[in-house]
Amino acid sequence: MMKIGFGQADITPRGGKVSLLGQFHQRITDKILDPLYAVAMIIESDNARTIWVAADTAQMYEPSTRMVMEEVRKVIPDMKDEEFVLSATHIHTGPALWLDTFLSLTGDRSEPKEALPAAECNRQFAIGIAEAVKDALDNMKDAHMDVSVARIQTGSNRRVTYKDGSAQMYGNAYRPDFLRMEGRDGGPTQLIYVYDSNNELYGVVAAVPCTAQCDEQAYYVTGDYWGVVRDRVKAELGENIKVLGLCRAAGDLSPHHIVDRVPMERDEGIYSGRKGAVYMGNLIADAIVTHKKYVVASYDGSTPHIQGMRRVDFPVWMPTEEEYKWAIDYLGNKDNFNEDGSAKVAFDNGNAHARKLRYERGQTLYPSNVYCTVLGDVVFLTAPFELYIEYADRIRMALGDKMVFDVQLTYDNLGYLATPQAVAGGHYSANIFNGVCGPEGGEKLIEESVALAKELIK
Amino acid sequence: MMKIGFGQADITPRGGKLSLIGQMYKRYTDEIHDPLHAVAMIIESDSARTVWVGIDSIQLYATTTEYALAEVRKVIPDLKDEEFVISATHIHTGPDLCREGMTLGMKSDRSVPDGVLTPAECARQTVIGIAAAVREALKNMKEARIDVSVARIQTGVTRRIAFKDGSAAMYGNAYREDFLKAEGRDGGPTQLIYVYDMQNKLFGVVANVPCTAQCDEGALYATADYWGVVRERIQAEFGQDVKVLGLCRAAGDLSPHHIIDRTPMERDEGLYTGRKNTLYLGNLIADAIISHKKYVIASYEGNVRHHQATRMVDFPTWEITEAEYKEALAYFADKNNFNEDGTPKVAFDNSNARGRKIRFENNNKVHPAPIACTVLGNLVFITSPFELYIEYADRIRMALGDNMVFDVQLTYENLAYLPTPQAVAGGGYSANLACNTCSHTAGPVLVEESVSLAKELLKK
Repeated sequence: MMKIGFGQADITPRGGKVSLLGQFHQRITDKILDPLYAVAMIIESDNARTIWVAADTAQMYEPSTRMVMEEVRKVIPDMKDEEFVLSATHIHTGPALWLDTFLSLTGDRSEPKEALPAAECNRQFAIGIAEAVKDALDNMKDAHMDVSVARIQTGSNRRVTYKDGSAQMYGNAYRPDFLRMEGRDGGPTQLIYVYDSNNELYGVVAAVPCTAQCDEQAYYVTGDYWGVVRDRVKAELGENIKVLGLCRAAGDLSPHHIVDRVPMERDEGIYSGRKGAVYMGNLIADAIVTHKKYVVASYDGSTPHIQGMRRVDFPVWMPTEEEYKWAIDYLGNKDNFNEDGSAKVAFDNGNAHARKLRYERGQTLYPSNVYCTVLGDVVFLTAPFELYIEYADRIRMALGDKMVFDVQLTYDNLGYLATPQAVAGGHYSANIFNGVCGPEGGEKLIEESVALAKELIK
Repeated sequence: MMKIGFGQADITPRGGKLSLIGQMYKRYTDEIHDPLHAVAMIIESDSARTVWVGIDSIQLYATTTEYALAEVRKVIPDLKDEEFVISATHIHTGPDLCREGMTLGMKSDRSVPDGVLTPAECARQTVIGIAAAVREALKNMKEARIDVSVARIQTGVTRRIAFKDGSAAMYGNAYREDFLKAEGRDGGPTQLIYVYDMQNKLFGVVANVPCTAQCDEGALYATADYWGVVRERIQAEFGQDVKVLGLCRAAGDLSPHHIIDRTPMERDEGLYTGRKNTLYLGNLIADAIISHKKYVIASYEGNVRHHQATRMVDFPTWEITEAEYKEALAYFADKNNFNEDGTPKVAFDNSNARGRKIRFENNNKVHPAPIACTVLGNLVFITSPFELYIEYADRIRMALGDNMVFDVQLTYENLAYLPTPQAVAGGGYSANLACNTCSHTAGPVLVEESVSLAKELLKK
């Protein structure tokens, strides 16, 4: 018998202003456009248990995740580490949860005094997640599920390449030397519909290859397109239906059109800002509604279910001695900084800090977790990165007999995991300060993910 | 004042079996699953006229286009060459329209047995149908306004798989251990135009989809593939009088078939293959047309700026070196390359050799073909006579950044695939001399000429 429960809880930090995470500039607000949520799904079958929580946040960091797990253990005391998966929807309109991380974009870990501290946001976050898990536990029921695939276009490639071999995230494709987009766009949205024994739908899993950053510049708290999806699905399919929103590999993707942008969109079109969130949310919700009938596989109580986790030592992107010296010179040169101490060129500053930190620390491996859930022919594989889609494609193809849900930004945030081509092209998301690992980390991720999945499938 | 008319006519050839074109093997059938259509749209505004016909066909040949133009002139005697645009939806389940075939090396035996309609007869019936569609459009001309939208659905996906050794293959096996990545990007969104009369009644839709109509490409019956589904759904939803002009955006390296996004459940007779895929994609596009009426990004009415022009472009053909020519001669001289009945053992090698020989001996350095440009407000339609790799269309659109560019492939003539340098380096079908008129050297020519033609019209 397969039992599945869904739960949901508000995780919007209360009691003060929120410093929104996701841009280089500070955004402090007390406006909540729509609440942030944690959605939990618990699966129990075949003597295995999976507790998956998706949260409206930019990313997870290991210490934050560990704190969440402590809170969840108050609800499920016998929960094993490998049973708990925590993933982020990657909004850019929620609070920072943890400041002291190996990955620092600027070297600056201070936080504004007028907003809630990250530690307080994380405390409330953990409590909210535990509530969602409790809600799910209270709602466990005999279940069966249908799987579908919706061919909608959500995340688009955001790296523009030029004729000189360089590349830029959100680069100007109107330049005369524009050559092509660096990689492919996101694939389809993967869907699971969960029904009770009376064939009543009560939960949906939607794995979307697109970060929830349509409205990333906003000066308010919002769940971005996921807020719209949840509202629409409830309105269309029933108030009690929960949507577990997962983000597929999308490191080099975003919801923002570049080569497919039309001039009418440039300013405040229907595909940008809040309008973009509403458009995307409705596109995904429409797909959820219309694809109930397009079933590619169904699973019931007899479905094999295995849950596993592997601790992986990812190779750290290390600077050379020459790069370290450049960093020391850079940081010692007052000309690189404004009078208030801020850097004149943020990317250079980020690179200098990362090079200095890594060289001096000498840490060549960075351990983190990848999780795998096997449920019939469906395999969920997670990555603690903003994962370039190419790596996820290779993982899926290496497990060709299975339908792989690749889910990024789980457990910890090791930043972007760029391809060799991207590192050669350079720019944001392919710099040392953007990721704990270089492309060799990609090879490691593929190898370990595939091995873990095969081990469980066996 | 802007006047627009739509017309539609059945162009399914009748009176015999059809030889379906689109695969490497022969398929004869007398089954018509759903009829093939020509849809015409005539726009008159700002003292200019555009007569655009989209047909359910794999491609066009210069001879077919000339034939169609002559037939349409019986309806519009003063029609200028540059006012007429004809495009194909690229079905693989309709008849061949020309015995000559493309200017390819690929051996093209297009003879047909008794009882099967000849390409000439199919072309005759097709052009009569085209003229009928134009006549109906002319009859239905009315004052109109248009809304423009963009639907973010995934239609065409990349079909070229790159491997770690630098090679690539169309529909390559991505389950191979040395799979590296998809060579290029997937198709972009579907571009939409809704045409209303002055009572706000919708009477026509232009849908520009970056996906060839080949979901059901192996079928043994005639079908318009997903366009048949789209038309039926739209007429059911909006009324029988609503016509859909289906255009194919640049999609040379795309197809409706999932590769790296394929799920194991799809491998055999899943939801996304064959006729089921046709239904899926047709309904996806129809749903998008229905749901996107409300997402209007631009509207035009009144005496909308409108220019129409064509330009003849000398496209450089794929150049053959003397060494390659000699290799071809050696290939033909070697009996080991052929079976006892004279058929080649390796079709691609044979096609390559044939292509090299013909081209070297003909010594045609360029192949002239037309491109067309329609300017309507901030909308710019740019056509190409290729199965165009999407990268070139991206570059054309970006070079005309102030305007919304509708890139439309397979118009007027078929010079086959126009691959990128990366694709030619990787090789495989669609990036091979055997299946192309031009190599990547024609890409920059197309980009430059298209942009220059559009800018010339936009300056007016």
